[in-house]
Amino acid sequence: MKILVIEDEKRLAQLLKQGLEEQGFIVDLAYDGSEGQFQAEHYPYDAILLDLSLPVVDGLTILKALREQGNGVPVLIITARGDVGDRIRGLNLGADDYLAKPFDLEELIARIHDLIRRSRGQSSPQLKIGSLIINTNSRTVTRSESEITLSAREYDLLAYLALNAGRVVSRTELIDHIYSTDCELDSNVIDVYINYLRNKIDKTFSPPLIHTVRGAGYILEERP
Amino acid sequence: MLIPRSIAGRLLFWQTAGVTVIMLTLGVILYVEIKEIVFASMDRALYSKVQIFTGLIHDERGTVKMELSDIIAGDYVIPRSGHYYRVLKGDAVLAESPSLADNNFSFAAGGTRYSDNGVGELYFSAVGPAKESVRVLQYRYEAFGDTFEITLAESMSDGIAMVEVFRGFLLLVLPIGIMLLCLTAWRITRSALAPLASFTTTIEKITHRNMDERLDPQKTALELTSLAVSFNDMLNRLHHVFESQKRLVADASHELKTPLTVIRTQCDVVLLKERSPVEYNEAISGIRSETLNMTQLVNNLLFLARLDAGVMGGLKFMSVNVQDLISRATRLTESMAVRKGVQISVSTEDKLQVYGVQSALEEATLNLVENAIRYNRTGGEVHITAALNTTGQVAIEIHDTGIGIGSEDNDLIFERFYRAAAVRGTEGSGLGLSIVKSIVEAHDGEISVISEPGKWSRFTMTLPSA
Repeated sequence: MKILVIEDEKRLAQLLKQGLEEQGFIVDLAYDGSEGQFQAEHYPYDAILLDLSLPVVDGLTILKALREQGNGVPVLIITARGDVGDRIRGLNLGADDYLAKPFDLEELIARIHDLIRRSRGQSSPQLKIGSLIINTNSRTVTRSESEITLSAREYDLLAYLALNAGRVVSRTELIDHIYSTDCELDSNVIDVYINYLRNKIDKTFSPPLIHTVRGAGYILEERP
Repeated sequence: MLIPRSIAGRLLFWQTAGVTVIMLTLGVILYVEIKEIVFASMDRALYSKVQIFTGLIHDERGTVKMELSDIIAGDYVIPRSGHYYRVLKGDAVLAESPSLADNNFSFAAGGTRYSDNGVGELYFSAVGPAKESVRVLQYRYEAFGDTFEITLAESMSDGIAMVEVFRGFLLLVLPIGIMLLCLTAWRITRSALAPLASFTTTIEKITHRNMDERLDPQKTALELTSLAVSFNDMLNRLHHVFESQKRLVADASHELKTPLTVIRTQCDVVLLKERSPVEYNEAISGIRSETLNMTQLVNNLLFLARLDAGVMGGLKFMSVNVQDLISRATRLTESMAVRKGVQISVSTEDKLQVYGVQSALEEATLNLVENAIRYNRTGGEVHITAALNTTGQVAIEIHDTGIGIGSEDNDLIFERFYRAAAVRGTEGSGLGLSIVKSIVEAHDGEISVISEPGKWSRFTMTLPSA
């Protein structure tokens, strides 16, 4: 899951990056409004953490611009401005959630997970595809009740496919969402990880859940 | 007597008191005057009758007689008619009116409203044969070699009745008049004070929630216009203070939340999993430096709050040497300047003295010099000058070769917590310049800045010379 953090307090931004990355997120940082707006408009993110009082362009302006462009990326506002008016303004402009500073990191992480799931039309923290169960809170995967151990990258790939279950996801999209923006990668790397995944979840179980769609990408679904 | 505190009550009280006193005085004067007139006219009538009686006494061949003509005899014939006479010649009765009926009846000289004009005319009131009040004239004169005394008495009932009627009239009319006038006074008071009541209603509606509401001086009574204007002025001042306090509290809590969030997040991140001692060390150092920032912020806030409360007024103002201020500031910032490779040069006029609080002026100077170094380019310069200006004030100028200030920020940099976009995210609370401004203004001085963005800026602090 890739997240953009737009926060002008550099110390806080870096701490958020560290904390979120340790929880398996890919995090990009922007320290001012215009930089943040550029990144939000040009790269696909699974969620954006947005501070309101930002230099150059303020947070609400960015949010408004994104929504006017039809960009529906989940936005979680984090701000020290505590008054109800700001909260309402933010939510009215299309923010998906609001967290007042200082916040609890675990709560922030839980809310991000929740936002991303809801944006994909999933409401439970457990994603189920056939006998495959992915718990996004504990980052654990089971198939037919036996636990499967995945590397961080494998998990990210599977979780993204599961969130978009039933939809064809291209290799580029997968790269965009599971690698940091500054990584320049060949899309073949995805094929390598898909292969690892197949070995772990499809090889000893049936039916297979990961399917290749020629010329388009991959799809995770239970086919009868 | 207790005079009421309300304006309406007072107006009413004094109007009522005034009206009552005037009316009563008038009534009493009128009553007394009327009574006087009645008595005077009776006395005049008695006197003219006496003159007629003297004409009726005549000497008929050696015998003095008095004969009553029929014209005036009428009233005197009927017993106890209220019209009486008795004429004495020497001590003997010469003639008596039949109306006296009782021959022994006598009018005693004296009684009430007695007057003796010294030429043998005695006027007095007495009680007549029918127990009625009578007015009596006892008239002595000499004629035919004898002394005559004519006593005339006339009932006062007509006159008294007239006075009584008048008194009754006064007793009836006075209270009604007083009441009517008081009622009018009440109405006048009410209508005079009506604008004040609506004024009050408007004021009562203004609370701390709608402090931006104002009275409309055009709509208040002419006499209340200046009151409305000064009330609006007061509201403006209060509103300003109220708003700036509110903003300060909001800004302060916002600013304090930022380091708090860093600390909290730092803790949360460290606690996510087991860490190496090096990582714990780094985290604790980070938290420590944030608490130092917070401490400075809180100190600055307290300092500002004390400046706002006018603490400066209670401190000792004295002559402060300008060279001392500057050399202290450069001494304290020396290591900072060395780290950044900034050259500081100072040129001041000799023996410059300003009048103020030493510690506060030291703080202000230090803040400006620190800023000049902090926002300078590496290897830049800071030039400090102090001189008497044309208006006899001491101007301290701090010129730097730093990032400068955009024209849009020129007025804002002295605002609390304001940080120009260029310096955001760097060290500093955004309070330094507003502290300088508060200090300078508490000394009746001025602070201003001119700048060329990206090249240089020059802060000028003007203070009263000692």
